[in-house]
Amino acid sequence: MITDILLVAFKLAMLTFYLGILVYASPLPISRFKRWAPELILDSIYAVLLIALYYFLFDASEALASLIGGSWEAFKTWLSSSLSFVMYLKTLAVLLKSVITQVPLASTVVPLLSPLDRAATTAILFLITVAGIAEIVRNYGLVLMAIGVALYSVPFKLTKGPGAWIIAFILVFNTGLPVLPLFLEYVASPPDAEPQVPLYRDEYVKLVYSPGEPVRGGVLVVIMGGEEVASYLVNSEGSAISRLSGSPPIQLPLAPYRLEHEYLGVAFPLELAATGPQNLRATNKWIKVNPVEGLYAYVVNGEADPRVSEGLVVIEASLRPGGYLEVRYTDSCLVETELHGNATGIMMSGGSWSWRGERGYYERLTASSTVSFNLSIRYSGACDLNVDESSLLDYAEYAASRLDFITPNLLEAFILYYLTVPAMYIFMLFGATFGVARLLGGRDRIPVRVV
Amino acid sequence: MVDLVDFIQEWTTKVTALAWALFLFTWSLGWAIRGAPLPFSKVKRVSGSLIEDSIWAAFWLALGSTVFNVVVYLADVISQGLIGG
Repeated sequence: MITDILLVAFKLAMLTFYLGILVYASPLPISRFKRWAPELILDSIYAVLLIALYYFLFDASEALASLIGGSWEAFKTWLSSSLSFVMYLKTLAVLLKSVITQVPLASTVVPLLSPLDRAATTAILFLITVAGIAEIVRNYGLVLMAIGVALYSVPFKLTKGPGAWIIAFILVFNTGLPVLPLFLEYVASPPDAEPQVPLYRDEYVKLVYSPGEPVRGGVLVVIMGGEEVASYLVNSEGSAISRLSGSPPIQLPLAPYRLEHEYLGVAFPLELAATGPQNLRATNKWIKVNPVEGLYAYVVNGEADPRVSEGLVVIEASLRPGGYLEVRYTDSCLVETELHGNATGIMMSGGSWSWRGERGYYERLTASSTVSFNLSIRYSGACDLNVDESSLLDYAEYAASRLDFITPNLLEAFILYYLTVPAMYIFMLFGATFGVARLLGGRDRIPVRVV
Repeated sequence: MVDLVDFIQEWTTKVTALAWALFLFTWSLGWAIRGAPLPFSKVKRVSGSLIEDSIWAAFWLALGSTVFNVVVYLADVISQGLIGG
């Protein structure tokens, strides 16, 4: 296709040449008309020169770029990492602005949120525009330049200007864009935004302890890098609820995290399974029975088969050596446990616990050898659970407390590095484009005859 | 695209043929006016320019392909010299 276009350009140049001769040969002594003769002949010579130098000019621009030290890979890397950082800041600003009425943000951060939002929007638009220009130059550069050469060769300078401009644009940007990251490195430095707080998304989390049996209470704890970053109350249907909104969904970070189920003073690891686009099922494999929110039993290193009826739970358990069955309940619950079967090899122990503003008791049956037994649990009373809400933390609040990296200095460095300096550079490239186009297009006509 | 090439080629051929014919005509016309007993100096100047221009036309007609060959050769030299080097 490029050879086709160049062939058209060559034929146009020939036409221009013979038109020039025709004007010389014509018997019309009108000087304004005759002045075209040397112009046409010169134009055709320049056009043929450009057609012959077509590939050379393109290669030279690439060679110049790598001579300076730029490369398209470096440009692509810079562009994608810049875009992802800018989009991260934009998303953060939008998320925080949406919870600003519920979550206390530092007073130094609040006035910067709107400017940050706007600067990030502008930066996204600008960077994507630059990406678009790079796409044109990288993928369509040769074709566009050929079209430019063909336009340049049209007789009577009809499209010489636009042709020269396209050629100049492709050549200048083919050299200039790969060098952009280098220029930026010399003139500005990227904003210092470590440590960053991961963004979050809404998720509906349901806790169960066996297929179909929801957990009736407790606290869902989110742990990132060993640090507890959020905690959500689990209601009596097993759904985790947000403290700020009082209902599902909750916010979970978009970075790797672990979930634990804290219940009456014990922390259980959870097994997660996605049941839908924003739905997560968390299974607590230790709990065997959980009839009311203030009472449950769990087993370590053994099996248990519960039968539940009104006010009474009977568990058929078998334990391996070292395993135990533990019954935990709050102090608003009146519990009587009775062991049936052979009591040898079973050690009974118990005590009290206090956890997140609640208190209660536990009873543990530890096996010293393999045993099977039946345990009946009679319970009455309110058996409710009142967790101290001030001990809970929504992830949005955690994120809001980690925003001390948002300062006017950050905003300044951000705008400089992603907007001002790249825009300056792009304008410089356009200036060079006009210079090269003027050199090629010769807008200043040479008013002399060809000799 | 090929139609376009043929179209331009057709017109170039027409222009070339016309240029050959016209050059001869203009040259003759120029000499004719020069020889005519008209006492207007402006007319004499016009005839002079007609003769001169027609010779330029003949010059370029004869030399056209040579010039382009030189241009293409120069372009090759530049490409080899600067890329090879």
